[in-house]
Amino acid sequence: MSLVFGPEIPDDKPQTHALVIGVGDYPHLLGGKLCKPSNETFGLRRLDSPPLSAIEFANWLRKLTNKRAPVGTIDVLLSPGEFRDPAGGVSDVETASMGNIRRAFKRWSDRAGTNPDNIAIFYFCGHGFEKGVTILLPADFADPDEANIGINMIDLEKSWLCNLKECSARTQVYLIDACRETPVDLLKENFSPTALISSKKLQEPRRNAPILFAANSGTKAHAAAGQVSYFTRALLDCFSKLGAAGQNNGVWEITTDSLGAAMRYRMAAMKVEGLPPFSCDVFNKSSLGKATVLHTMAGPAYAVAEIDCAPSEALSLASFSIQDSNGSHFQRSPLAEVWSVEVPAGSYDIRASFGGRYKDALCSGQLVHPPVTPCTLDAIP
Amino acid sequence: MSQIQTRFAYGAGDSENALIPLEVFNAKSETVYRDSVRMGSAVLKRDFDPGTYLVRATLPSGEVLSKTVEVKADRSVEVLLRPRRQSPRENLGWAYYLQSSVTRPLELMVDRQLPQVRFWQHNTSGWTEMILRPDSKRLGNSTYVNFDASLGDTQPGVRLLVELQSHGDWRRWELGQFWVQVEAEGFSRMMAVPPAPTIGILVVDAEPHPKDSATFRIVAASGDPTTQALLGYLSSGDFESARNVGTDWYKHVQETLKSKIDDPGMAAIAGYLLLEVGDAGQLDDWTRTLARGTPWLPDGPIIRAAQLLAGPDPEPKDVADWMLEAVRRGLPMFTQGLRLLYDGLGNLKDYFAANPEPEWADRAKSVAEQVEFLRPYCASAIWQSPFTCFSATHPEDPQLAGTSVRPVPSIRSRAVGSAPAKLWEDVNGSLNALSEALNTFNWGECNRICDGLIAYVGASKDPFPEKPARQILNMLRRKRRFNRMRTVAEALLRHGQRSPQIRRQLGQALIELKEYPGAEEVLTGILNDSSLTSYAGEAAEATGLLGRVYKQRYCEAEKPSKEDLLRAIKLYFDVYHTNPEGYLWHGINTVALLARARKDHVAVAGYPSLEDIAQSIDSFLNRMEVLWYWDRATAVENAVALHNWQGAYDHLLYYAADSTVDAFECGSLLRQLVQVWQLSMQENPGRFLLPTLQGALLAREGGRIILNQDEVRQVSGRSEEATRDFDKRFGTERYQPLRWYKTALARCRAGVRVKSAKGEVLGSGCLVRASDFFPQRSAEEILLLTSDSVWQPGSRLDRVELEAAGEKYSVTGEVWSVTEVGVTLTALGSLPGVEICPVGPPAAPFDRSKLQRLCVIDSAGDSVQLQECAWVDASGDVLRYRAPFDRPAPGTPVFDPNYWSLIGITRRSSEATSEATSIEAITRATASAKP
Repeated sequence: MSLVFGPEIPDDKPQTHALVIGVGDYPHLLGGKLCKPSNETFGLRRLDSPPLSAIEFANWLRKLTNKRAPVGTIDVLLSPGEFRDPAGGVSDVETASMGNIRRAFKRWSDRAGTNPDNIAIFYFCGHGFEKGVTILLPADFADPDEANIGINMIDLEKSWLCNLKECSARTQVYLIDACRETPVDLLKENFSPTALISSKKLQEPRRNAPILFAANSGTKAHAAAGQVSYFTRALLDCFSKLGAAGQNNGVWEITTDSLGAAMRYRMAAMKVEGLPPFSCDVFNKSSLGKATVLHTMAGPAYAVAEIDCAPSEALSLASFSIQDSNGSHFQRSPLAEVWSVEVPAGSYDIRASFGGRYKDALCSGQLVHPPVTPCTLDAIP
Repeated sequence: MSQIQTRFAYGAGDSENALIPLEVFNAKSETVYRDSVRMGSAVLKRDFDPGTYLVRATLPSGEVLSKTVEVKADRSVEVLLRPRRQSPRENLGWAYYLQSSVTRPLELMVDRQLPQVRFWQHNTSGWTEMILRPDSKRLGNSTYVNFDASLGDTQPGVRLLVELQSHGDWRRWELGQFWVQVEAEGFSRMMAVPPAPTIGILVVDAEPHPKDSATFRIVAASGDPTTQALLGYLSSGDFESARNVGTDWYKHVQETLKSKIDDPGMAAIAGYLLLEVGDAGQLDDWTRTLARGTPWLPDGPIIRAAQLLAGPDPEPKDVADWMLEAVRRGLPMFTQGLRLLYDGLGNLKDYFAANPEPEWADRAKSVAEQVEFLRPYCASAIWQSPFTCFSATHPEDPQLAGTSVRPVPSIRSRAVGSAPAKLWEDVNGSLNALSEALNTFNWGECNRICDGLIAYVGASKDPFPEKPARQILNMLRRKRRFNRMRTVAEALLRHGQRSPQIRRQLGQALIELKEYPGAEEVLTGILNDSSLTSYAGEAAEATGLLGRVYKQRYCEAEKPSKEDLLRAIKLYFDVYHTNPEGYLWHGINTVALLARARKDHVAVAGYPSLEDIAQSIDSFLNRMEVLWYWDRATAVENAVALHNWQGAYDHLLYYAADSTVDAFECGSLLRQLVQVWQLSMQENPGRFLLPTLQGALLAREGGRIILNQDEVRQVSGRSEEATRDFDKRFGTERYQPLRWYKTALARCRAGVRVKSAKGEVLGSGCLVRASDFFPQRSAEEILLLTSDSVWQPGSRLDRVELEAAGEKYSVTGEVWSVTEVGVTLTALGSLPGVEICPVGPPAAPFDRSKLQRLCVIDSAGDSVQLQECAWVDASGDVLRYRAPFDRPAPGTPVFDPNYWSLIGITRRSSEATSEATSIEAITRATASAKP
């Protein structure tokens, strides 16, 4: 077992159960801690970011608040298998090998299946690619002792579909921080990836079960060296600030739908020099008829105000400022691009001055709502 | 109290009618209003208290539009929703607001190419490239295409706009699935575009991706704006918006779907919406209507199967049948469908593997095969596209998305060079070789392979295995090689392979060869075989065939014996009543023969009335989830028995549209309707059913129709009349083999029989328009085009007789012999009202990697013979083809079967192949000739 969190809520109460996997060290790939090097590495290398990202996400999950389904368990598998808790304590967890992941997946599925109102969260960060289906790679991928390369490959879609049938939890969220490219060398291989769980059932029950991918089909996911990945960073931003659907009795709620919408926005808005634009691909199944609340925010929700001018030529002359009723104030000097500023959701006065070329513009009492609210100020000569 | 009215800032054409989700938040960030509204303008359906509100809408493109407004007491306020990027044209609103199509230009690309665009259709005969008529920019009969590359001058990132506009009834041209192929910079992509009266296709730069990704994207608009918007939300994963819009929209369309499905694309989106984000429980029986009622749309069966899967206790057989039906129709038009199909088949495959039941074995095998078939399409799929899109240079050859194009491997590369008997040491290879020989009507090769088999089984110690033996006989039967079927079956039996199926196949071959005593002996032998207890189904089949022996005897005899009729009825009914639902074909034969007995005043006692049996069969058919083509054939006859002409025609359309129905089966149903039911062209329902079935037969591989000149006139007239009457009765919106056949008959009327003055037949030819060959001549003037082996200038032309459509013509005009291409053109003057053979649109160029087909109309004999042929080669000015039956006479015109445009004139025919001069070569030669 690799439970890093388990407050032992009675089984009859709905809970949120998470399985978090971060695979950075691939012993049989380039740069891995070679127990047995593989001849076929398909150009893949050891990664730094996944364990960091997984640990960051697992630690944030402890803060997840949901009265309807509080956090029940957080199971973590890593490669290398060293977990660091928020207090800095270090503990060993199970290595994210195929066998361990399969067993952990079954345990997680069983736990989550004890109550239909449970919420199951699956997070994976590591290597992945795509060949008709999304394939995730556990730590022992390309083990030269394993003749069938597909044994140590995870068939995500089949695992997802089988778990929808096997696990009674009506809400299941899958967060996949992995590439979805198809290396040409791998195409030459004839293999079938392996599902983490099997099912003898045929019926596909109703579920809210989105899959959020860190990359579009055929493209790469990214991380800066030694840093939490961009997808996981966006995920944490959305869970903690930007992902709210709206307020319910004064509390900001993040739902299965609003998380997807916020992630799509957040990822598309991220820009890193030298890298292609990011995107979050949301593969959705939402057949319960309405979204499920995943998390309620303790404080205010945040939103991005996207401040622009019409005509857009005036942007390069515009000095912007945004101010709330308490006097909190942000400003930006002239720049030929839209100003995206993250602020607590609420009411703002937004100003623009154009150095005399256009009349100063004011948008008073502009409401800013998550995840993004555009505001265009008219520049009148 | 006050109201809020929204207005879209820019003109967006039809797209303004799209429903989009709109929310209003108060100053406390509480949602006070949520509804779907028309994008163009809307008055929100509630009164607002004075205060500050944020009005926010999300476009399907992903763009969020918002505006804060101050609402004052008793005042209405207008909110202008302004997207950041404005469409350069109103009618491109779909591309800028309803899809995330236009992003940013591809800065890295130095040499952006103007994309090459091709159009494809997938229907009963597989993939066909649709050729754009260069003179009229017309695709098919009524769809006009406009290419506009000028947008890119003002809109960075936009490369090409293609607009398709269908005049008249747009559903007429949707004879299957429509696909567009775009090629540029070494990448090629195929995308499905569901038919609609207007379709927009935009080719834009792709987002900069790693260097091995395609440099462009295709986006398309098809269908009404709200369905486009919903598709945009669904494909981008914005299910909240999809749900907000879809819930209201579905309430509106639900009743329409229950009554009549006019717009299958819209119905499919409604299905996907409810399956993915709504309440699948709301999907009621209209999905069955969609699945059954739109035979060209693979998405219908997928939705039906997914609905069954989502319900309690799905029946694996039904789910599998719908999924397999979907694959049989082709690739889904919508990406949602491709995902559901692939996952659904995978689900079934695992289910069958985990729950092995003998009764599911065949389905399990088919399901596993189809998973493998779809795998490369899924690997090459562009999942972000709302419509199914994949990377491929040819639709049958999907390639990994992102990789550049590579040559299409030849599917005719299998060489058969082994000695005949030795060949069969590799059974699979020989089966493939036999299949190829049969598909290309290479009877010489077919005979060689069969002779090899006979030698092989004679030399073997063990009997030839049953499974490939059955396959071989089936293949021969499907191509109507009954003599070969007989000799092979006899050899197999002689050398120990005596399974009931092989014996039954011999019986069937003998029936087809009209050797009834022999057939009776073989079939009776099966029934008397005491070891047959484990083959209960075989006994029923053999009994049915024995019934057919007596049926044929009765129908074909000059003086029919009522004993034969009664015996046939008894044989069929005895099987039927043991398990009526399981032996429908025995039941329908009982019905047909009882009807015949009634007509011929033959007293029959001891059976239920034909109406009672027909009603039972009708209820069995109605209970079936999926009607396979053999059920459709039964349903056609049954509807005839119940005097339900519309039902008969409906079922026949499905039957004709089913690509798995072969020429043998079409011929069998035609024979049954003519011989047993005695339907005729003169009256209903024969005047609809017979020409439609003849058309379906001709469209099949190896199809042949023989008509005398009177019949050409009659059938042509009847067909025309039937088409008009059909339109009046049933509307014009459905798949119409009748219209295709009508065009074929028009070409028959332009066929010419060339005889010498002594009455000796010289050959065949056809009437053409002079201006198609000599542009300066009048369009009214008609020429005879034939091969110069039929005649050449210098002959005593005034003594040659020409007959076209039963009319005689004399030759008084000029004659040109175009010696370099071996044809003769003869001026016949102005002949108002005659049919001619058009020379356009040109056929798709010959491609060795595909099995291309063509049709010939030979008018040289006493009868006109239409044959569907295999196009086997083309080199220079010559094209070579193989006809399935008789060798076409010199001068026989060769047609592209898609449009019945003239593509060649037969020069000579040998045992193996026929050779024709291409029309392209002739027009090239005549262009420089002096007329």
